[in-house]
Amino acid sequence: MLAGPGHEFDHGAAVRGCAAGDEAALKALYDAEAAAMLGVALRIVRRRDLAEEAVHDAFLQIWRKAHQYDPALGSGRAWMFAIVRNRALNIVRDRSREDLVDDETFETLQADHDETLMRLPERDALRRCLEQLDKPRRASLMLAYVSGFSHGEIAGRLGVPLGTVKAWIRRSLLALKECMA
Amino acid sequence: MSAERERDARAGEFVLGVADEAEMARMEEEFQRDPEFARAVGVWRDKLSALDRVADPVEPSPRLWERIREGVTTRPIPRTSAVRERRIPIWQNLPFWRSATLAAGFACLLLAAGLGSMLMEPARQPVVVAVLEADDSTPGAIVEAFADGSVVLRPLKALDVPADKTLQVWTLWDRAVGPVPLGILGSLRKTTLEKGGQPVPQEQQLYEITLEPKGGSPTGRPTGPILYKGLATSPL
Repeated sequence: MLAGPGHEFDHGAAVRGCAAGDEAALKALYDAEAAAMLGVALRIVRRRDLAEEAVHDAFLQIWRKAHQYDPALGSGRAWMFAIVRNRALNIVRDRSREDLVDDETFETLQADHDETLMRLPERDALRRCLEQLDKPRRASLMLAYVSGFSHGEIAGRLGVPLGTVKAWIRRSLLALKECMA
Repeated sequence: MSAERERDARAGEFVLGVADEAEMARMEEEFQRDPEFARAVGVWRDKLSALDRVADPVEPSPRLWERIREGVTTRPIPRTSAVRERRIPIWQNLPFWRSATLAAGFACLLLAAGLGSMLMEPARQPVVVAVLEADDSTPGAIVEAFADGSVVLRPLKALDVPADKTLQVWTLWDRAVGPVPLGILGSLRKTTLEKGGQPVPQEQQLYEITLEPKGGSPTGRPTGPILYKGLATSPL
């Protein structure tokens, strides 16, 4: 059931199955996405045990909140990943990141982010538009989305004032939005 | 910045999850209340999810699915199918709160444990009790509400409250009136709250604890994240 890009798996239908109490639908979502969700959680929490906790909590939430899922507000897949990201973010916000990141340097993180971006198809709109942002702004967005950093953490890592980071992210989001429209 | 751009930027920040706790809580509330904002959030989720697709997959340990399955089978979900119910302000979202009544049976068990203290004071029989649960359904506190308007809160687990925050207890007995603050706490401990002028508590009345700025919500309405919530039920 592990499906690659361009897969036909219907997440929305499986989420509706969960809402109707069909445990097999939850298992199908798990088989399709648990490994990918664990990868996303691990990018944020950095520790395998905590990442599994995030995925565990996420699937329980998916089950319990399936009846709230509204297809008008994005794809079922994006909804599931938003849930696991939120769980992972809650975990890192509750701890100091020093507990989680051992000796990872900022340069390694940035190299990881560059590589992440290169994995997007060359003509992918998000990639094209992210590449148009200047480096510190792109780095801020990637730190936020991929690594789950807060405004304050990004300011600390980049050594710039908090207000500057907030403005960068805000303007980068608007530039992305315009570019991807 | 136009209202629409402002909304898009905020929705993007909400999806990134970069803002501080208080701001995230405000945006969560906006997401629940404002369909336009919720739509903007959905657009960002779809746009940015390409970055999720390229994360290296990591095979979960075999135990993980078993643990999820156990969590699922021990806690049945409410069989509501109102897809749009999420848009209803949460205070008016009865099906959502009804799920909390699942805790009712559990409340009886827990109360049996707490009966010792109540037997010492036989005149003090609560009119209703509620088990307040966290978002992941773990019980956090029991509320006993008495006919004289007093409310006894018994914590079931320790909770760290940041120095600049306050816990605030609320109840909702009439959606037209909205949530009524019952009192504030510096930490989660057994507390008796005396708030006069309230109607006799009834079944299905909502109780909840939110995290608010120090000194309590500046607006008189919950502004911070809901830590625990539950619906009242009458003890036998």
